Amino acid sequence: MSLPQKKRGARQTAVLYLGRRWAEWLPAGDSVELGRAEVGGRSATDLVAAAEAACAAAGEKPGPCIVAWSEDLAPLGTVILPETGEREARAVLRRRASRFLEEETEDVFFTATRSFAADDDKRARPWCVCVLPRDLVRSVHQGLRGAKFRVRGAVSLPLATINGMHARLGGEEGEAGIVISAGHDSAQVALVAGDELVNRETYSGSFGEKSSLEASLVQDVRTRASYWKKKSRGADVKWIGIVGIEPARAELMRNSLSVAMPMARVECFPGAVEGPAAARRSVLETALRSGPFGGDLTYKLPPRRPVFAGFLMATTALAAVPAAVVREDLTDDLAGLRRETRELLAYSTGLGNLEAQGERARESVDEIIARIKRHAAISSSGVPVEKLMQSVTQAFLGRARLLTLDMDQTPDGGTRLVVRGLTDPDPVSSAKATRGIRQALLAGGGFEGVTVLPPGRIPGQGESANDAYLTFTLEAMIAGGAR
Amino acid sequence: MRILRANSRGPISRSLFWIGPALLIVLGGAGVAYQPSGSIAEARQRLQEAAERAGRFDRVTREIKPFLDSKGFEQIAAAEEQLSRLIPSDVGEVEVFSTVRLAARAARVELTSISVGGLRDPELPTLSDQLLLREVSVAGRGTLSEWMELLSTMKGHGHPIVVLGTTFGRSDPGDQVFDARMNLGLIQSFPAPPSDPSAGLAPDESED
Repeated sequence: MSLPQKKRGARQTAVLYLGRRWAEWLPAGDSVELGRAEVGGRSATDLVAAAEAACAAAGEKPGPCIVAWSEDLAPLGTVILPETGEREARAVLRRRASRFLEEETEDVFFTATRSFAADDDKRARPWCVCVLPRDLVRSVHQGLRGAKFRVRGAVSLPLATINGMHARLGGEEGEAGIVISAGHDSAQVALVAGDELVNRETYSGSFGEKSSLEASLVQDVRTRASYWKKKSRGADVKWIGIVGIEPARAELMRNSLSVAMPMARVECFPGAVEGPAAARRSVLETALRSGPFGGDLTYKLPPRRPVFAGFLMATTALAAVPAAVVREDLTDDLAGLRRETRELLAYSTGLGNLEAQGERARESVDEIIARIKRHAAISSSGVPVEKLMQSVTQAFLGRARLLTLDMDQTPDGGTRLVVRGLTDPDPVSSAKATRGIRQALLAGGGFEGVTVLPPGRIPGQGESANDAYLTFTLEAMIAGGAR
Repeated sequence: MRILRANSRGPISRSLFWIGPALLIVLGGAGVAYQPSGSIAEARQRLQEAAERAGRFDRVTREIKPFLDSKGFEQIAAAEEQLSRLIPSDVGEVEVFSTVRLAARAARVELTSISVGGLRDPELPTLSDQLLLREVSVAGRGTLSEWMELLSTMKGHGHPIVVLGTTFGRSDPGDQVFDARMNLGLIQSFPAPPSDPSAGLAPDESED
């Protein structure tokens, strides 16, 4: 009985096993032919050459495959770590994992799965770590790519077998089970509880007439079952899966375990009806499964140059087409804007000349207005002789005779008027006349004030003709700007 | 269940491996496409300026066209010439004497003396020319109307006159003739002095 596939009886992908001694090729599909080749050395080149040979031994050409790393190339170990953050855990695991390798290197490629906390102290948890030198992984993947292998993924085969058995036999949540798997020169016993790996052990050696490996494995299973009963306070191991052991020998082992552990369901892969060649195929087929126990060692190489170049070209094309369209649109817009601007500029040619003419006209008009105002200022400045003369002669008419008339400009631009005149010698008539003159000047002359000084003396007998009158003096002011 | 892996490159760096160049190409394409956009902004700015200029051209044309069509500049020039004729420029003493004498003769004023003084600033606004005042003292005999005629005759001959002061007197009140002295100021036009650039920098000492 082989492990179930997505399509029953047909594998989706080939499996390439890489170990220190052997490389094996399990073809895709339902082929039962397994190609095997010996590894000539310890370098990546030797591994790739063995892979090519194994593929050829199976009668196939290199193609898509899952790489299954053996434990002797990708050793497994346990690291106890306190509960911590992922970044810190990764750093510590990297450092501790490097110690599992025979070569001293810090540059490791690893996968780590947190395991069952067997101790009472829940703050410290064991981690199952699978580790490879990064250089080896990179070189092998590059070599396989060069040899036309298309690696779809990579796993640790021991952990893959645990995943496979758990997927096949794992029952209810938290149920404990034991996986026994056989390799070329070793065998593994692993105790799992639910989705967690409790512990595991690898035994060196192979099955044979005189081998004690079989007995050791049975004894180990019984010990782990007892351990689990104690840890789980009476719970039994519910299932036991045996994979990779030749069917007849596996059947004997199943009988022994069924007698020793009647509470456990024991199943073998392959089943008894299948041939001996199916044993190794069953182990390798577990590489096609993923599961809770980790073991994924997939390494992502940079894409091939042609692929990357094609990607860049496609991206460039995708970006260039809309860019060209947008650029063309924008260029058309730009040309339209420039054409419109040129037309407007051509239309407004001569604006500067027109503005200069307008400015010159405004300046000329301003000059004319200023000249007119200045002329008006000239006309209104100085003593208004004609006006004052007319006012005085009108005021004197029929009242008195004019003797002197002085008109002077005052510093503030006003005019001071001093008039001397003669009136009738009769004081009453004289007073009346001077009052009339004063009132006439005030009424029509625009004077601020008119002052009549007291009349002179009254003339006596035998005096001159002038002496036949009374003299008087009149002073008046016109304020500056009052005209 | 917790699984930790140490791959050669994390998911972010793996994504960046593809996304980075693609992003650069797309950004480059966008840059190429929008390269004219800066020029478009500039062209729009220029178009707006040209449109404003065209609008200003229309407005100025509307304002100045009727003025030009009606020969406004010729009219302005004629008006300026007429105004400038109202004020004589730089009249000499001889001309002043003759002007006064001619006016006196026309007004039948009997002159006894004429004296011409210096120039002084009447503090009238300075435009393209500056106006100064030349003092002239005229004495003589005549009736009041004859004296007024003298003034109007001089003004009529194109001499703006400012009367600074007058004295009229007669000894006989029956006589129509007055002895008079008139202090006149003849306004004359001179070229405006050049503006003194240092005038604005002179210290103000009015409060000292």
